Amino acid sequence: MTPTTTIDRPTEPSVKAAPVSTISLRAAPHLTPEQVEALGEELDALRRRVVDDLGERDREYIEGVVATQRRLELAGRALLFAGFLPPAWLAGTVALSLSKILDNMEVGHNVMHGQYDFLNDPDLAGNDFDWDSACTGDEWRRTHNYEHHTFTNILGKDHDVGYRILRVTPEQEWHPHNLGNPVYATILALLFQYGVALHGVDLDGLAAGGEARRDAVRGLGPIARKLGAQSLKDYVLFPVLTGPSAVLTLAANATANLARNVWAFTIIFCGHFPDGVATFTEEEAEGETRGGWYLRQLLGSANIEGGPTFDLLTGNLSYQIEHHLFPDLPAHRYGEISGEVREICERYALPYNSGSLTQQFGSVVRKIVRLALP
Amino acid sequence: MATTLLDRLFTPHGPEAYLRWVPSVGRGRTEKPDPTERTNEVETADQPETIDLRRAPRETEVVVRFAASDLVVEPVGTLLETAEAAGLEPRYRCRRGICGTCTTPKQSGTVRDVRTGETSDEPGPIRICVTEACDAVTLDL
Repeated sequence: MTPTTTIDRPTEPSVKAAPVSTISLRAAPHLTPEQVEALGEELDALRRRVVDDLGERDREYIEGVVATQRRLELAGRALLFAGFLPPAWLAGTVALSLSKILDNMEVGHNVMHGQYDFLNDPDLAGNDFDWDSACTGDEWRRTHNYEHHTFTNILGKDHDVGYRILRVTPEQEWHPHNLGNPVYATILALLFQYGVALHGVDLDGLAAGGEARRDAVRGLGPIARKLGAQSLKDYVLFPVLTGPSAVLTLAANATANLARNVWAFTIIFCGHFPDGVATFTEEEAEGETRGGWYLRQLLGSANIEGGPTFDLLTGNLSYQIEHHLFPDLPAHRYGEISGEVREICERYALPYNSGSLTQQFGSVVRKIVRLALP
Repeated sequence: MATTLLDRLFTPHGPEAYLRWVPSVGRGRTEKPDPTERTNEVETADQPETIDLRRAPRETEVVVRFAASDLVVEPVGTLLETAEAAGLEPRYRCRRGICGTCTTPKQSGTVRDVRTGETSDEPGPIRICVTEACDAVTLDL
């Protein structure tokens, strides 16, 4: 295997590197274990300051977003009753798309991380929340909150690395079927909610026999029920309610789901797969300390630069680096601490991977195309 | 939040009452404590250290009360480990404070984040895999 993580790093580290190191990440060989722990302590202190400041402002923020999302959904569904008028159809479809994007990105994803648990509001309790997506809340909490956030970018452990079908890093061994990489990526983007819903399915269990297979099949039950309920809502119930406009409503709902799928795919892929983002081996993460975990999160994530509306529509995953450092802090706080995180990165001579949507997505697309070949 | 009358009723006072509540490590949860048997068990070597309630004032006892399970035990490591040692089976995944699976409402008491050493006495949901009890902690578990 060739060394593949390329990181723009100043040639002269600003922190003095000591020669001895136990386990170090290939992506940051210049840091000693002591420096990694010092980095962790600085990030802990930053986290503490935000936690101490949590309160009414955060409640108002998330309640405002939820209210906006509900108004958008109501407006969208209502407008589609007049879907035979093209402007109403268009406005309804846009409102519904924005509603689904807000629901998934700024509300669902962040609430399910437990970011608003401190409010003690049963409607915003991370472990009970569900969202307008084919993926069940429980499946998301397992594959995302646990697997992706604990084993971020560790090959073989974090299935977000390629969603089991894509080659997104040269460290994934090439197979002839990877020739279809750009095609698979396009299909995944269009059907992203189903990719998310299904990428955690226990394929090994299904392939095996006996108890493992029975468990795997049992696990499919809730997934199938959620898929059915979502389809019934968007593709049967609401269309039928609009009577003669049923087909138009179905088309509008499908468009809104499609828009949300492509948007979520774009933002999520820009968060982990642009050039310069590191992947890791299981050995590298073995016996990892808290500082080491922070370091891996930093090296494995990338930000997208945009304005406040863009941040809102990405669920503040435009600050993917801050999100991965502090997944349980309210996401609207990430922008406020991003300057400090960047400053810490500079002092430790670590990359802070940030670029415009065009730059980051361009980089992802080029990588997906390039990695179709060995 | 003040200690309610219920809390007082359910919190054992005095060594005999307390010891009856202490489950043995790894033995699983006992439904109906048998006073004679428990008292004997507590004197064996593999028991967690018990607190001499005759000396320790009530306020400084380091104990964990699992309110929904009607159990009071002394802590063994983190609150998650304590619950497991008491025979409970709380949901967990990462055991590193990342995923939030083990999030449990804390009704009262002071806890310490084992990663950072920070303490908190505010009631509310906590990640029991990375917190330990500093005094008498009550969890909705």
